[in-house]
Amino acid sequence: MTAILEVTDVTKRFGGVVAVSGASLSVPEGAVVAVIGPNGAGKTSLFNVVSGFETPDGGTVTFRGSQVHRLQPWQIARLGLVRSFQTPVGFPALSVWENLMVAGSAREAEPVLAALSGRWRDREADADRRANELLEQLNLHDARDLRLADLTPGDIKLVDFARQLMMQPRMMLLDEPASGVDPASIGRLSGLIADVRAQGITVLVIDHNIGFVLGIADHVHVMALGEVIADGKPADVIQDPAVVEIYLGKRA
Amino acid sequence: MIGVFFFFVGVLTLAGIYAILAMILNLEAGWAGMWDLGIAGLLAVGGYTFIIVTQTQSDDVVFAPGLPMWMGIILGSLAGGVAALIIGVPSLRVRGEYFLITTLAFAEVIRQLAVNLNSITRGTVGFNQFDRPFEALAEGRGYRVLLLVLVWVVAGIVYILMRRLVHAPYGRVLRAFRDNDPVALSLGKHTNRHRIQTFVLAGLLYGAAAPLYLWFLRIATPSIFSSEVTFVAWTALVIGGIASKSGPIVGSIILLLVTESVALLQGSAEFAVVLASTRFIVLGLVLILVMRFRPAGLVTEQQSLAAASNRVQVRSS
Repeated sequence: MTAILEVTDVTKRFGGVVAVSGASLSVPEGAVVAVIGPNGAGKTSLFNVVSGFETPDGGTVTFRGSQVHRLQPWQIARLGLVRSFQTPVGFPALSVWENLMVAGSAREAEPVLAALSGRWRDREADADRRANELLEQLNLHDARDLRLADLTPGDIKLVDFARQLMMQPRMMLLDEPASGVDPASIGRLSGLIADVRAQGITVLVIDHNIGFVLGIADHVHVMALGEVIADGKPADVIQDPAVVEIYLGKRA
Repeated sequence: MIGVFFFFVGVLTLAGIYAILAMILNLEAGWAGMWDLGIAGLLAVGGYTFIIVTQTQSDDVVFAPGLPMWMGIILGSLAGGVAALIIGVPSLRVRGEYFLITTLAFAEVIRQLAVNLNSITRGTVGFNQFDRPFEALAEGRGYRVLLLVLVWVVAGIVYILMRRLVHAPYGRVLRAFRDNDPVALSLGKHTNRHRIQTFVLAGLLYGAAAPLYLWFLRIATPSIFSSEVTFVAWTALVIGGIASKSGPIVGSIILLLVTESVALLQGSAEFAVVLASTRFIVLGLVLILVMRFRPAGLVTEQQSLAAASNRVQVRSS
């Protein structure tokens, strides 16, 4: 399999703190890859670099064959690399349906001139259909016209996931999707990620929940102190003495 | 009795003008999250451009082309848009507080320019003789009623325009990045371009609306573009309900009726001075009461826009 995302020697410093230090990883197209590691290991900083929210101090990020580490977040998103955030607040004052439509509407429908001429109307039908299908699938159809802020945290997380899917991404970056999700719903989340993968969407996921990660990932990278210290099949990685010491060992 | 009638005609005309300003402010602040404190500045740019290019009092000014009124309105509007572009491009790149400070400072700079560019603006004396539209149709007090109608027709047009904008994908994107800019960026929205686009549109609209303000006051001096204009428009918006469609109109009418009605309690000349300052006390009181009992304003965003998604869907499917 060819790599859809290639991170090479990425370094990111914040003042004197080195958040990411020469990290490299490669994500094959269509795979589910996880990055695990203790707090402060640089996982989210790495995500921020990959998604364009931070510019790396060194190294390169290549997505689908083109270098993206100098691009703006919106440019990277338009290439089909869509990320989530640890705190999935989304757009609280917008309805659930509007939250999805923001992601799904056609770019040509958005400028102020399109609003004035009304030319956006015939461009909405496709996104509207996809939004309703997604809400149906996620069992959120009754919440369609509620404000996002009025949903439960678990449902807000689902809307977050649906919003990313509305972008019809090639690859999703999920930042701790299982945090704050009750154990009973973890299985459901795993199922959603399996569905996404079945559609051919590549997934790179950060999470603390080892059980969850082992259940969904083909490949695991372990980060500590800004570096990727180990990688391999999930079952092999958790046997690695270095990983046990740095990550799992600390929890015992 | 007739005096009271014309007094309220005047108050409602001013309320209509503030409703227009508050609706434009609502577009930039309520929906796009850009807290503009320079409304008076953009209004001054539009108003002065209009009056300078159309005025016929050519004594002691170096520039008096005497263009027709419609060209003055277009040029005033363009000047407002250009001013918004010039201050928007650098200040919207950085965080929101910088925009707030830049716009506030801009408004003061414009006022100082108006005071000091004597040979163009006639300084603090300003302009006090200019034509108003449709003056042939009504005379004296009758014209006040005509102006009231004209102002509210324009307010109606602005309302329809705003409704069109907020229900389009454009408006949805504005409200989205107002709530959460990083998420909007992660969805491929070039949020800064939307901000600049919106601020320029607001500048064009303030510029185009400025002549109404001049026609109502019948003067154009630096003092009518003080920051008081900005704060009255903001207060009207907050009272009426920020980010709702009709809130700016409701807020402007209530605020202006309450504060200006203080003038009806006429007394001696000394008392008039006291009354003038009472307006601000009343304004503050109204604001406190609304914030205490309806913190989201009299009309909320939820009431105004929640049902919108349904309506849009029916049209599109």
